[in-house]
Amino acid sequence: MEMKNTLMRSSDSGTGSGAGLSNLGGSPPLEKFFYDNKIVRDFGIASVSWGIISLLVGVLIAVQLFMPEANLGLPFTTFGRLRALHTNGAIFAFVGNLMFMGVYYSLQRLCKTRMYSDKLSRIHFWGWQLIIASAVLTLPFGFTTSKEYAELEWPIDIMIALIWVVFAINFFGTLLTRRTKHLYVAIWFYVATIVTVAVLHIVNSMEIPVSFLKSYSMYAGVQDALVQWWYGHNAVAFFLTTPFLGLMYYFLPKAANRPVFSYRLSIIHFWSLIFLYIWAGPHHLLYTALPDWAQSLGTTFSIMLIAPSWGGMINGLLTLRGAWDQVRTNPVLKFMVVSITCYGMATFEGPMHSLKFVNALSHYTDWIPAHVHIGTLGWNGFMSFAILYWLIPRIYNTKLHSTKLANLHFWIGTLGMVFWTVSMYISGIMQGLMLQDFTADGILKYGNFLETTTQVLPMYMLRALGGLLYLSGMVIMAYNLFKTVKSGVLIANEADEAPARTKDYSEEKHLTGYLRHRIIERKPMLLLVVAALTILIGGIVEFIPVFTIQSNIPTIASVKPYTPLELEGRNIYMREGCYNCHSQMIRPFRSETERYGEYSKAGEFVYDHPFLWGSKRTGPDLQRIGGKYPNAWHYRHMFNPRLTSPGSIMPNYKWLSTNDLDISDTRASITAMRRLGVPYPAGYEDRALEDLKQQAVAISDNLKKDNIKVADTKEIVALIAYLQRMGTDIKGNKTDNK
Amino acid sequence: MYKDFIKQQSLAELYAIVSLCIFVVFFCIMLVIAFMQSKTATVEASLIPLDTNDDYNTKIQSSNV
Repeated sequence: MEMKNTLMRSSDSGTGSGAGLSNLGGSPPLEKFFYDNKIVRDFGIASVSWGIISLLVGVLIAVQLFMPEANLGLPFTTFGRLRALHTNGAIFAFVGNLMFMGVYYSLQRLCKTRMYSDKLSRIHFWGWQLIIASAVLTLPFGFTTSKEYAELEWPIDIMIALIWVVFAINFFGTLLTRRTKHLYVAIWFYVATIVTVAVLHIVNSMEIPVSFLKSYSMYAGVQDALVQWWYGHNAVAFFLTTPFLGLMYYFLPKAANRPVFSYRLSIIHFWSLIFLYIWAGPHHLLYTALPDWAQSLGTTFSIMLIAPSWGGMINGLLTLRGAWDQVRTNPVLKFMVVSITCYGMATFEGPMHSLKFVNALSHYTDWIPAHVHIGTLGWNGFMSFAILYWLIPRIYNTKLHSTKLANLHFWIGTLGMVFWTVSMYISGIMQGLMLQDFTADGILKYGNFLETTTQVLPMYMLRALGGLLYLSGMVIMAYNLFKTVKSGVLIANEADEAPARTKDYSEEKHLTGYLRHRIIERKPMLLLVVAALTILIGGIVEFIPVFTIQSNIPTIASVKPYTPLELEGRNIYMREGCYNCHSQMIRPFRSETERYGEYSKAGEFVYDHPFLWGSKRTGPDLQRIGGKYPNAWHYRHMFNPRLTSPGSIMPNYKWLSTNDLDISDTRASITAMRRLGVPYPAGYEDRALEDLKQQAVAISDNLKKDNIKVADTKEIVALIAYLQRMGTDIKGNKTDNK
Repeated sequence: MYKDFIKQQSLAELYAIVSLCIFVVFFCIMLVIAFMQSKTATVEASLIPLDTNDDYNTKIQSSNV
């Protein structure tokens, strides 16, 4: 039965003791209502359960980076496919569910009302779990868009949009039916999250379906990269940061039993943060083919982000003034202090990475995952644990089963985080320095990329150990919370009382200057509009020139569309997640042009739907791999990388030699690409399969010369065709700036 | 004119300076707005999460959490 928002006016019923008291002296009558704790509990259970699964997958793929056979020889347990499951699971399942738990708990109490609709709450909960289950059922099987943190295919994208709208209606419905006049700062952050995530998701998910679980990004090359990293950066900002800042502003004062240090600072913090964050996406693309002016914007705004980020951190830490003695004994505050400190570290490190000279060293190395995991394991993870330890005993009206176990979790989690990040800092800096190192004779000191990989393997082992420790802490927490739940009873409908909201603000007029920001703080729809405008400015300024002005992406006459076989090979490259370990973007450094060849040009990627530049080099860049090795080398390398590259940590892709190439969507792919502007001639889709067959036979025949017998119908043939094409378009050609 | 402006790659530095100016202006506006708030109003607002009928703390005195 749906619990009504207002069950009764306690003054009318005569049973509410509070009502009687409040009416003495002419106070407005109190209304009795009930908070929905069941939805809070459900999201909490989902967060812990998915969190353990996501981190288990994380540990498995961490082990594969020094022991590739840990993929068990199966395609769907291999790093390239599972990495997306790990990141999506950690972000949207673990952190996402926790965020919803915290929002549903705090919003009801800050608005003094039950959620707008119990039905919408349930649809939101089950819809979100269905989305996560869909990710589990698609990503390991290679159904991916290949855009980082947005890998889910188009039907799931639509489902995400719909469920997000359900959440938004329920959220704003609650705000509009609230009993309080004022929207507390935590709610501003929630509003910014809802509006920005919607914008990010819709813009970045624009894609043309080819089949039920296959689509191509509507954007190509440089434009796709800009949109993707505008999304990727701001997914961190508005899914992992702003909602958690909102949670911090609610749960930290509650846990410390002290008001936030400075409400004024929170105003500056909020608006500056949401205004600045949206501009900073291009810092993920420094020294790439993205236009210089866009890179400059990304760098400058990233550096300025330190100000609001540290404003938030300081506001959080100083909220504990006078309560630091509690930190020694209270595990909730311990987790919160480390969490906020990690937020400060990550938000200092991010801007430092945006400095071009630092980025030149750090980008593509393990330094970046180290930075990311300070944020996710420290900021998000520890804040999540703190909220769970604080909240679960309350909604079960009991006390935490074991403070000792919570303290053990704190120390084991901290130790795990230290192992994880310090090993990756060392590994990342080592990689960066080795890859740029020249001998006195001007020759690359580590000419073979693999020489740098093998030296950091001990660090990869330490990372896996760190992940295992952190996961162990989560298992301990799950046990502790389970025992806590068993010792209490869920207060599914928690009673509270408050007077109805009036729109009489006359009593506030004596407050000088009070109305200026206060107007926004009590008008949720105005707050929504102003927040939306604030976050849209940066994106529009960056996107319009890149999309409309041709000189930003000089065309290259010799760059041609992929052949049908190459296109199918590219699909396999995406399916196996090769972009997780290999970039396709050679930066204009001597150390890179010596190692890989001519640096990448914007015009080379105009037919790349989606772009596949990658963001991490566990293996070498592949932009100029085409023509570098014979077909037979590629065949042997994919069959068992250690045959051609002893010591390689790349997994075997033996299934590519036995799987038949699926050409059922080739015609549809050509048609979709033409709709996206790729200049295939009219009616080419009718000849595509003939051309595909011809090219496949040629590669198969070529392999026979090296005593490799493989049918021209196998997937490996298509992949070889793609690899041999990569970066070959511009050899001996010059940019045409027309 | 707009296109000519963008075409000049040397203006990348100008973008950095312009973006700095945008931020400084925005930040100053927010500072002014924040400090225009009355002390009473901000204190009252900061107490909102603590304004609750939650009697958990009195019930569960023995808990350290």
